Amino acid sequence: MDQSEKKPLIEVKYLTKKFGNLLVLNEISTNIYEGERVVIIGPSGGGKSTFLRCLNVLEDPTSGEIIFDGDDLTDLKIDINVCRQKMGMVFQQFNLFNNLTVLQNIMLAPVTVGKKRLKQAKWNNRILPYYNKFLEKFGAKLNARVDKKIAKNKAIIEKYNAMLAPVEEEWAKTKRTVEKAGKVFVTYDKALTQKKLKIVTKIENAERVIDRAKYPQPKTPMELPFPDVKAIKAAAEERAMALLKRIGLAEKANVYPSTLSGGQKQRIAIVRALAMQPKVMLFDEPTSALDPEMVGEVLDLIKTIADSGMTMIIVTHEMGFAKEVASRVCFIDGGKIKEEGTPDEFFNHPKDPRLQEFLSKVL
Amino acid sequence: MSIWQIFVRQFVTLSGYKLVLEGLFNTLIIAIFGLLLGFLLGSLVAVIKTIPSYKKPGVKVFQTIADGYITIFRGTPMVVQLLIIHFVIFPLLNINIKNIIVGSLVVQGVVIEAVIAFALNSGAYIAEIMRGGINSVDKGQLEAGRAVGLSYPKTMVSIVVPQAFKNVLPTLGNEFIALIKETSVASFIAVTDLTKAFQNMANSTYEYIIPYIVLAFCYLILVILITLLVKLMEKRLKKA
Repeated sequence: MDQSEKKPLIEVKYLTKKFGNLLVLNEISTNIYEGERVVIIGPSGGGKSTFLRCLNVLEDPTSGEIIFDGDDLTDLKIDINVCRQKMGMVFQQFNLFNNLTVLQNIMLAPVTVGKKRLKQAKWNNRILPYYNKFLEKFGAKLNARVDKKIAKNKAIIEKYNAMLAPVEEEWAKTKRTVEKAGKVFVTYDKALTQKKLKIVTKIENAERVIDRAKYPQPKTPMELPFPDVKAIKAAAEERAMALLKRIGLAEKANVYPSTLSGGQKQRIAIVRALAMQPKVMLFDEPTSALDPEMVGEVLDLIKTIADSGMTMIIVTHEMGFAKEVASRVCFIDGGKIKEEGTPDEFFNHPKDPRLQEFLSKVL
Repeated sequence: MSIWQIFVRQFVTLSGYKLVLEGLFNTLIIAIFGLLLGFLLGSLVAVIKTIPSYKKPGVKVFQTIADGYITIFRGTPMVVQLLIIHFVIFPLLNINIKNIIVGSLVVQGVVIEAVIAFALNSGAYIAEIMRGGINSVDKGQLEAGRAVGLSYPKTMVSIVVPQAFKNVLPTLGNEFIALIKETSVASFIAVTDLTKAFQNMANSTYEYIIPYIVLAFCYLILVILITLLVKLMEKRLKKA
């Protein structure tokens, strides 16, 4: 498969989510590539929605990593808002902003983000000459400081690596296999596991510091994306109106969401997410709260977006839709991906007994 | 003398209307600015109190301060707070507020002290009102705002708080009505508010019946006006 060579857009590694003692997601690992349309199905309470909400950190994962577009979303130090701007999300309950008109709903995020970028660019350009002068004077000193930091952390890694080897050896010796109820469990000495984990974390932290260490660079003038706030608003409005026209709701631009039908609300919610020009769209049961006759219009819109090549992850109960739109289907139950594959393989030749049972009930 | 003659003598011949206008002006200044500042303060405290604290440990400190503030200002009488601010805190900090002159209007320093006291007091009540309002807004609104990439404060300010405001508007109207009537205690720190003006008038002529009945009608009219205002606002916000 050529997909294994491409870098995944979203890389999920050992994603675990617990609500108190309830384990909802159990070490899920999967890769989502650009242009893929992943449909997630499964029984309710199986963790589908939680998985989707963890992908853009609306739900804090208990452990594991989500690497999206090169950023680890579970890292507290990244700017999660910037990452979320690249991920559109559509909710089961639409969640249109009730205090804003349809047009304002769509424009709010692009305008806010545009304003912020403009401010940053202006600030950057203003302090640029002073900063570069400062760098000219003290650049060598700052570089030396970064060098020192890297060297120090390299020394830490070496030291802990040396400590790790004997601990790991001893730890491996305490391995015990237990058979319980037909399943094999592997246990290690608890104290040693803790000790090993501590050392490994220290090494990882040092590696992260080295990764992050940057030599100060002279600033370059940033180009202003728009001349002023007015232009940002005009551009956002133009785009919003174009999107509204595309879904045939241009005449609803200035009404409040409470006057719209469920199908219209959901289509506008989808457009609101699209207005940010995201790299991936997440759909959390987009048709579950709709009247049966409105399901069609929403699914049609999702299909047209899918045809335009958007990467999507869709949680749904609509099996026909899943078959039609998916490039890959996942079955999540008990916090694990029990089976995944192409729609044909998945629906016609399911292997997992739990999936067979599930499909026999819903198809 | 007939009632009408007494009325004319009190308010026109003896220039009682000047006193009344001054008192009305001070009462309105205290009530309006007390409410506005109290609303801003209360909203801020409410937003701080509703931040999920497990995310940023530093928030806990602010939440404790907010809790302390609410406990103190809801736990002591308004008059006591007014007296403490005027006779204890301001002299201790050596603050002397000067009169503010806007055109031909003069806002006395004591009136500004009263505004601060009433803002702090109503802020504590409004904080709890707004907290209820914020909790009554569907959680999905916050999630949707965060999901499109808005920051937590931005989502709060432009989406959640406006909706919370709409939900608590009747209660806020209640608070405003209570506040405008409570301003009558401002005379404790030598503010000539509406009540004090009528008291002065009555004391100078030993004629009590007319001034106090007119005083009651003054408050009644003010409260009716506020009620109408709140209704109008509710109507406008109902569209959304």
